[in-house]
Amino acid sequence: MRKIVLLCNGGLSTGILVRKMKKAAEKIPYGCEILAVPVSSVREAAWDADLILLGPQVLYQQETVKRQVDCQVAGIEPKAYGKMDGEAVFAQAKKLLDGSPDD
Amino acid sequence: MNIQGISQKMEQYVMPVADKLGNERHLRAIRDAFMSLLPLTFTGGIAAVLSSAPSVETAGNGITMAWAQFVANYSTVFSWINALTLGAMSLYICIGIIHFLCRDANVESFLPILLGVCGFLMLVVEPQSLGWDGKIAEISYMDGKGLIPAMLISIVTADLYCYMRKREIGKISLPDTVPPSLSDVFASIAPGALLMVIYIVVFAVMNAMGTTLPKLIYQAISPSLSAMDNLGFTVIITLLVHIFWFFGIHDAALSGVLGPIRDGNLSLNAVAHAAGESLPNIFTTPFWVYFVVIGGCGSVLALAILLCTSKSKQLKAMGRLGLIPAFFNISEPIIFGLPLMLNPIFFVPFLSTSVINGALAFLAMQIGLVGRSYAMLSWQMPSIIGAFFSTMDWKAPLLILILMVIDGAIYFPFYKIYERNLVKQELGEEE
Repeated sequence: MRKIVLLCNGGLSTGILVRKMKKAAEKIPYGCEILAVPVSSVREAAWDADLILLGPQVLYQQETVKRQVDCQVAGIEPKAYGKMDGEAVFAQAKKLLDGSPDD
Repeated sequence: MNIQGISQKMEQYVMPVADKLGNERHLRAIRDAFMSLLPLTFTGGIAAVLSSAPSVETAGNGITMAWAQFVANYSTVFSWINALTLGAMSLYICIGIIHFLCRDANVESFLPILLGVCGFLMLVVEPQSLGWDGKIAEISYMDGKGLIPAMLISIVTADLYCYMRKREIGKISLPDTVPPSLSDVFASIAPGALLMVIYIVVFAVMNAMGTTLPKLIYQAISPSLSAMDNLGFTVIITLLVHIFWFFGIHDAALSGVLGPIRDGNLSLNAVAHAAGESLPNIFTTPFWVYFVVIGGCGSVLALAILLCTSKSKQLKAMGRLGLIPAFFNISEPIIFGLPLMLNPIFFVPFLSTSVINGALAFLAMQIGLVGRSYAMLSWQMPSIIGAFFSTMDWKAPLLILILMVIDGAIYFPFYKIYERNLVKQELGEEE
């Protein structure tokens, strides 16, 4: 089971996105766990993640997050984030995890 | 320079600074400690709202009379809740900072918290008479006035403790047969004893001078603190936060500095309110959440309403998506989706709306037109409701409505320019 963790400041606005991403994952279907946590609890909540995605508002902390974990860390494309486009962000996540966009 | 150039420059220069500032471990621990206060400030806020009944003499009849009578009967309960929530904020901040600093250093935080609480009580609470049959101490400085001593004590405690434990200073070697939990206690004896000696020496010196640590600090800095509660400071801080957000950087990067000011001012107001005195401060946490950023940073609630009526399909969809989050003070969807971030068309209104909200609300409170805030409920409470409950003044929600109209008027021309561009694009696509 893959684990994708989304980070934002309080875990609130990414929470909305997580719900939509889960729907996109079910549609495929793609077995994975997706959750949103505040950026300050990376070490407790995301130490075993396969992929960490940062909301654009906390992207400036990317280097600090990278130092705390071993997995891939990437920023969510701001416009997809703002539109809470679960499918687009999920596609981005899947591409990062699997390496290819369509399989 | 075009917007892409600015964006690149920002990644190169602004982001590393924001990262340093937002992740400096002391500032981050302070910020996390203030965030953790919420359940306490919330309960304290509810109690403050409940206790704002009209006095028994002036209450009309029926419900207001019953309410006034209820508050009068249980005044001790309400005062005690106030004294131990917002009125004792510094104690909880002290515990929180030690906890988060230790977590950051991977050191078990239990023992340093015990030590820090002892140091805090010794230095911040002022003994009045310590007799055989009863002890009386003054706890007033546990409110916002004690925040700076609380930060000092917690940082010294956590940093010294973690430093000594990591370098095994004063570690007593015990045979392997001693259980590990016991040797952990022994390992903390020397760091603990040293910290206790520091607290005791500071207390003894202050006591000999006829003062306490918080009194000394507060007398020294209170002129500059009250100077900060002014219009210029409100405008500059609001502008700074929005410049950060224009580049897409969350203002949490500044919260380590802003939190103590906002919550400290709130605490002093709450204590003054409970004592029936006039409220000293304007720039508090509820002032910021409910009056300055109406709909989240960028004051996007008015804009979200405008978007919902747009002729452009994209903008209309964005408005529908962003309206409800904005109502609960979450502006990220509109900031990143519209986008407002790095959008030159919206540069002026994005930076000016919240500044104008802050300035007008500040002036309205300064001249006494609208009541000042003394209760913090929740960051997600819609402005119009939060403004009422944080001040218990019916004119406060009215002010919010007026500010929203002004925000809408400021956004309107820029929104129209943007809409025209998008409508043109959409028509082009259809042809």
